[in-house]
Amino acid sequence: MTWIVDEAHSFGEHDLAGSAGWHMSVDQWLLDDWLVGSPNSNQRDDLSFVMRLYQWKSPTLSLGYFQSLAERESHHPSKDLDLVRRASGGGAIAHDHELTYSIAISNEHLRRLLPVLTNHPSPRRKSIEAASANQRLYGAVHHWIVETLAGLGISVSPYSDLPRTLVKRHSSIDVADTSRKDAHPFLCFQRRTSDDLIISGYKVVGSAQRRNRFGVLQHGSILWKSSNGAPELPGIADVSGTHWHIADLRKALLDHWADKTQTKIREFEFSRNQVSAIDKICTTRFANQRWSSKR
Amino acid sequence: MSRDPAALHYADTHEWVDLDSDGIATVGISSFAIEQLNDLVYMDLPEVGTILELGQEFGEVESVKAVSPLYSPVAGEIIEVHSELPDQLEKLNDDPYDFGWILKVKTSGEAPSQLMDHPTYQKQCAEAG
Repeated sequence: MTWIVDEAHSFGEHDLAGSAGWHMSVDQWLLDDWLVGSPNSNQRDDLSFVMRLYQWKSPTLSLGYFQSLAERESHHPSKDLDLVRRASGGGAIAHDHELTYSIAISNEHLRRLLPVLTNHPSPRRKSIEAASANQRLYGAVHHWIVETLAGLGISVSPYSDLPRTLVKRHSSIDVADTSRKDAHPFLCFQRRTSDDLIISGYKVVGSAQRRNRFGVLQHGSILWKSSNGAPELPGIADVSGTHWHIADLRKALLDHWADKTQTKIREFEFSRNQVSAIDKICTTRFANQRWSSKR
Repeated sequence: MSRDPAALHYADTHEWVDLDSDGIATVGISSFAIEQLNDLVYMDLPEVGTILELGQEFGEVESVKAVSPLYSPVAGEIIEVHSELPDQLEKLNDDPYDFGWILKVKTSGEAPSQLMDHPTYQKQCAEAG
């Protein structure tokens, strides 16, 4: 079963719904609470995970978990955007005209999902132990996105499949080329790792993870159009000239996911207590200025 | 003197423990874990004086855009942290059991029963692939 979160239906009444802090809090709750609960188990026979496909109420700059707040000063176009610190790694993202996905999955279900999305066997279980499987999740999910975009007539490719001369011409840096952290560009979409998705030399899909002993949360941005908060980064629609809209992409992703995983997609119903728990994460962490400025 | 990996205890979350006769546990992460995590770029360490419960998160690492917690394989009070380590993570690959120590924890003196000896841990790693 794939549980999809209907953001408006689930949280529409909530004051914080759609805000940066709320989005990060829902993702964190899925990892820390939902995954530890009933679906995190070897007891369920079916593949089960929760997926979100969401957009942001206002343009927001998210920092990677270990990024310094002071680094923000280096990027003027995003200086007036709202700010949130993600629990996941990587570089900063200007969330604006994009579709964001997140998926929370237990280690056991991850082991079973990967062969469905790809043909890679991945028998892993525990936190660090699952690192290789977790890393394969980047490629597996991105493969689903590649196939979905292809269905819309848009061709994107993993960075690892492309000649370096093409993908390095836009002031990007392959993070594998240097161990110097200070050499990594501030923006995630100016960094390159092997599973990042590229169109005409520009990175347009990137993902990051937060793990615990039970499983992994992976979320990522599908950059659709350029933002005033990061005008140097064109989106898929800018480069491809496609007439499709983000809503079309969202529907296509869900349809293809259902086909690919052969799972039913049902709306995830949040209880009042679950929403309260998310609210607590939001106020104490992601919407809390002390959290955002902790580094 | 170099620490012998075969003489250490291991948690199923891949932290190693060297417990001395005074009950001081030196803690690090195994070479298998370092290899699996692949290219560590950041590490957060706790403060001296922190009281850890068995299995409690005591730090975090980032590798390939993924943040993972580190879990304490012992209970007790942190009496020392390897503060130079986060700035020299590249050395972890070459020397996970000596330079790569992370914490020293004052424990009750007995290794938790959940910890594995080296052969058992190696078997777990082999089964994990």
